[in-house]
Amino acid sequence: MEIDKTSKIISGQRPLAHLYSFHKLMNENDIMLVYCGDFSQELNKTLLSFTERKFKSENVEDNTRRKIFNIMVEILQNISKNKVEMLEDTPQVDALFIIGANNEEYLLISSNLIMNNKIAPLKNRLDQVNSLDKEGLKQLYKDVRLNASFSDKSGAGIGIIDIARKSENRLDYSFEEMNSEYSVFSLLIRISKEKI
Amino acid sequence: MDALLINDLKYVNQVRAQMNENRLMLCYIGSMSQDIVIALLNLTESKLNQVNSDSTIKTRVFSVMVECLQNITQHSEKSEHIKSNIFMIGYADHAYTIYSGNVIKSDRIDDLKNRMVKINTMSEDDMKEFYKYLIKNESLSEKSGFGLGLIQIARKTGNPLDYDFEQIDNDHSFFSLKTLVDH
Repeated sequence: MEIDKTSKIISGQRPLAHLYSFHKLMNENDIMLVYCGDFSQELNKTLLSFTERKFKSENVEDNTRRKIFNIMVEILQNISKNKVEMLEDTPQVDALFIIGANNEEYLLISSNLIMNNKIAPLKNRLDQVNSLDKEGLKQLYKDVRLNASFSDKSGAGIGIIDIARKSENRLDYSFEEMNSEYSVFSLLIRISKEKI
Repeated sequence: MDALLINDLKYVNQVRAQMNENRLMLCYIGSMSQDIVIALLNLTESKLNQVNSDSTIKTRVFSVMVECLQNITQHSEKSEHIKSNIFMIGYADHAYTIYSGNVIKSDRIDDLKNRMVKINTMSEDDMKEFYKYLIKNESLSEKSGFGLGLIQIARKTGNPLDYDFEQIDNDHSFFSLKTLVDH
C-alpha cells in the first residue's frame, strides 16, 4: 500500500507551507468559499443553505440576500444542466463554485467545462446583456420568454438575462480552450452591497 | 473604474489547480460562528453522502471537524484576523484530509508544538492516560485550550498530527493543522 507522503512529518520540511500560499491567493481575490466537484441536487441545496446561514449571520439585507440566493439557484442549475459527459478524451476539469465578498460587493463565480459549439451563442448573450441597461434587459427578458420554446436547453437562454437583471452589474466571463471540443467557461457575477 | 471592470478570471483557474493539486473539495475562509460550523457540517455531510462513506467514517470526520472548528471559534485571534480562519476538506486515496488554520499569538507556538510532538509519539494507551491527566490537572482556562482537542483528534483518527506555523507579524503566527481520517 502506498503511503501518502504528506501525512508523514518530515523534520526540516514544511509540507503544509504551500497551503498558506493558497490561502493568500484566496484572500487576495476576496474568496470565502470554494466548492469543487460534483453538483448534485442535495449538494446544491446545502450550498444554498450555507449561503443563507452565512449571510443571515452577517446581517446582510433581505433584499440583497434574496438576489444572491436567486442568482445562485440559477448558476447551480446551469452547472448541473450543462454537465458534460465524461468520456475518455474529455479533459478532466472539475466544476467550481466560489462565493466571495469585498467591501463593495458580493461575488459569485461558476466555472465549468462546456462544449466549444456552445460558446458562440453564450458569448453573444453575455455581450448583449452587458450592453443593455435595466429597461433594455427587461425588454429582452420579455422577448426571449415569448420565444422560449427554442431556447430551452441552449444554456444561453433566459438564465443569463435573469442573472444580469438581478445582479445589476456587468457580467465578467472567460472561455479557456482545452481542446478542439471543450473549453472552460468561467462567470463572475457581482451583487453590490447596499449603501448604508 | 475600468481596472475594476476588467477581470480576466485567471485566478479561477489557479484556484482550481490548487484544489486539484491538494485534492480538496471544499474550502472556507472567514468568521467562524456556531452557525457557520453547522453550515459547514451540513455541506460536508452532503459531500460525504455523494461518495457513500460509511457512517463510522462520517462520524469520525465530523468529530474531527468539530474539534478543529471549535478551536478556531474559541482561540483564534479575532479582530483583524477574521480572514485568516480557514477550513478545508479533501479526499485523497486513503483518507479524508481535514485542514484548519487560524492566527494565534506567537507565544503559544512552543506549547502547541510540544504538545503535538508529544501526542505524535504516544501510543493509544498513553494518549488515554494523558487525556485523563489533562482533564484532572489543567486549570479551567487551560482546559479550554486546544490540548484536549488535539488529543481527541489524534485518538479518533489514529494518525499523527501534521502542523505548520508561519509567522505573520511580530506577535502573530498562522497555525495550520492537517489531519487524516482513513476511509
